[in-house]
Amino acid sequence: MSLPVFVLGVGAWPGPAGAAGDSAAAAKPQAQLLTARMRGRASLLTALFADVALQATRAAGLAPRELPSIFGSAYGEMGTLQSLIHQLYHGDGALSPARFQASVHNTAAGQLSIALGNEHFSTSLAAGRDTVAMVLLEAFGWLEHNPGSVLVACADEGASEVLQPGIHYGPLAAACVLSNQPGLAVRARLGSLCSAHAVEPPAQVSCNPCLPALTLVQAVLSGRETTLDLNPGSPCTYSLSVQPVSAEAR
Amino acid sequence: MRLRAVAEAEYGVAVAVRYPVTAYAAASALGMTTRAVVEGLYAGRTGLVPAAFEMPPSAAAHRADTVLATALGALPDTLAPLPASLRARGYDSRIARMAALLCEPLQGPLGRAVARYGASRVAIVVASSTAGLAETEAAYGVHRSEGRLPADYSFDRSHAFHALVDVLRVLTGARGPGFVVSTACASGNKVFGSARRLLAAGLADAVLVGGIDTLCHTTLRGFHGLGILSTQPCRPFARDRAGLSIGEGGALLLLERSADAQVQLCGVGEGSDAYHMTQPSPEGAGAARAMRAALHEAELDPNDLDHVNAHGTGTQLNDAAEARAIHSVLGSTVPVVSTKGATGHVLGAAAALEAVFAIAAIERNELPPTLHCEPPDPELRLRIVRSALALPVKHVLSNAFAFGGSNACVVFGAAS
Repeated sequence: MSLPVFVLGVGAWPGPAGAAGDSAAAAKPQAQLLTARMRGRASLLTALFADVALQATRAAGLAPRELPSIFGSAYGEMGTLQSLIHQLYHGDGALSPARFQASVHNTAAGQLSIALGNEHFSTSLAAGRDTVAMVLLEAFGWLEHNPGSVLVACADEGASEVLQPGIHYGPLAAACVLSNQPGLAVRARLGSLCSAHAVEPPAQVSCNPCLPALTLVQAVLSGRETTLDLNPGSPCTYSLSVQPVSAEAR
Repeated sequence: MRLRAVAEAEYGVAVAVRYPVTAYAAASALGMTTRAVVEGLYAGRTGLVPAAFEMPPSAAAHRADTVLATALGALPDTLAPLPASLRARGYDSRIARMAALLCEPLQGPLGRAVARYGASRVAIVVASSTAGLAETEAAYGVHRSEGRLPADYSFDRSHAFHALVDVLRVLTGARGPGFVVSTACASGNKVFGSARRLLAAGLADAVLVGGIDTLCHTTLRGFHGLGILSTQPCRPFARDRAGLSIGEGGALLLLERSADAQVQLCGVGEGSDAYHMTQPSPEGAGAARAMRAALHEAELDPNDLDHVNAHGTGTQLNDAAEARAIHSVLGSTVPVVSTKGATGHVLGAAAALEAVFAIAAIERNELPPTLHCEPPDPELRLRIVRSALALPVKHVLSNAFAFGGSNACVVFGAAS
């Protein structure tokens, strides 16, 4: 990777300083980018993506319908999927078509593209504890050959009581608008993703897999130079340097 | 050239680099080996059989409607157990066993790639929509009756997307970046876009790409609920087509930065319909944009294409929209094939499997037949290939379109 990557805007839910358990966590994510009809039916995950996408694009001063987008979620539409499986065992034989079409991993990508009329590239990835690192890698690869900006957003719902017994973490989402072109809105510059092969992956993920995305947002907002470990405990550890860009340098 | 100029303005600068496909493996309802799958396809066999897909027994006791009559494309044989090293770590699942089946014939090329580039420079980018959903459906039934999950079930290792990457890492020795692309039925083409970006940006030197999906209750019941599941083997592009048939299986392919190979990945086009979650835009506008983008990236004109492997699911709306898109970009003379009448729709893995068919068409200079297409729909105005057809094949476009309006088209070409 040769081009510099700049951060133009960030967003997070719960708020950038928050973590599950904060008072902010009690607030529902705002899915204003979706149509009213979509908002009423949106899953928690899709609402999380819509919320942080709006925050990040607003901070970057860019129209969300004009941006290619990369979505990352380790587990995807867990709540919707679990309700479908419940229907398999308890229902009358047919699954809800509305729930089924909203169970795919790219539900948020699809609903946001429809609501915004966004015909650009989008993709949806999953990589467990590596999800945030892989989303950034995909974004860096995209920016290498496509001048402009890209929205990257990572989110996961809270752990499932039934399917992930003994695991406790809350929902979380974070987003950045990245660009290969510095502009007035630049807040930080990202270094290359460095990887180091390490250890056996943990048998289960014990915190929200998208937590490193929130850490990245916090690092950008802090204005301090730092290096982030994007996936501690993963078999391949990725680190990323974040360098603040002063107003004079913009 | 006019198309190229328009595309230049619309899509920016093309990445004019071609990456060789140095090895591949496939498994589907047509067979457990690549040879069986490809030979079966060209022989005009179908792996789809009328089937009654039963609910898990613990659910059936509470339900009148327990059997779903349809046509299924299940793998024809039992999958071998996973290596003990993986089972001991709790990775056993149907999708993991399929991954092992597909990796076995690729051990030689993968080993050489790891040795040549280094393990950390070999990435894994694979597609799936179901992941280990079949295991979770069964585990949920146990939980319902016994109040706990089965002892050998772990969501992270039995179901989650990253379990597939973990398993592939163990089976191949690759230690580079690894992720699953899951954009429903376009996933199997989008992995080629991601791999191309990793290679072009110097983030990897070889990428194991592909896709795997398995049959499960949720997808079958879900498509049934949408009213688009055929009760008979699907009939893509036929006048009386009545929906899709679900299959399972997939393919793995090895892309390298440079190597001798008969076929290359030439270009990928990706975009969004921005129209509807499950229906294509009626005029196929989003599909047409993705096809043009793939041609643009491949630096090809429409008349350079010798064949289109269509998404061709067999639903009224999908086939009509795709036909309009093909017609608008390529006209009505390019030979078009849908292979889903032979394999069923393998969902997130469909395009990976069809990439193997596109490559086989180039290697053999022969197109496979579109099954169950009698009579073809005259309103589609396409040249549907209905029996195997020998002709020179240099460039093939393979289409994939998905829920959420995700579109991805890939061009493969003969190495000159």
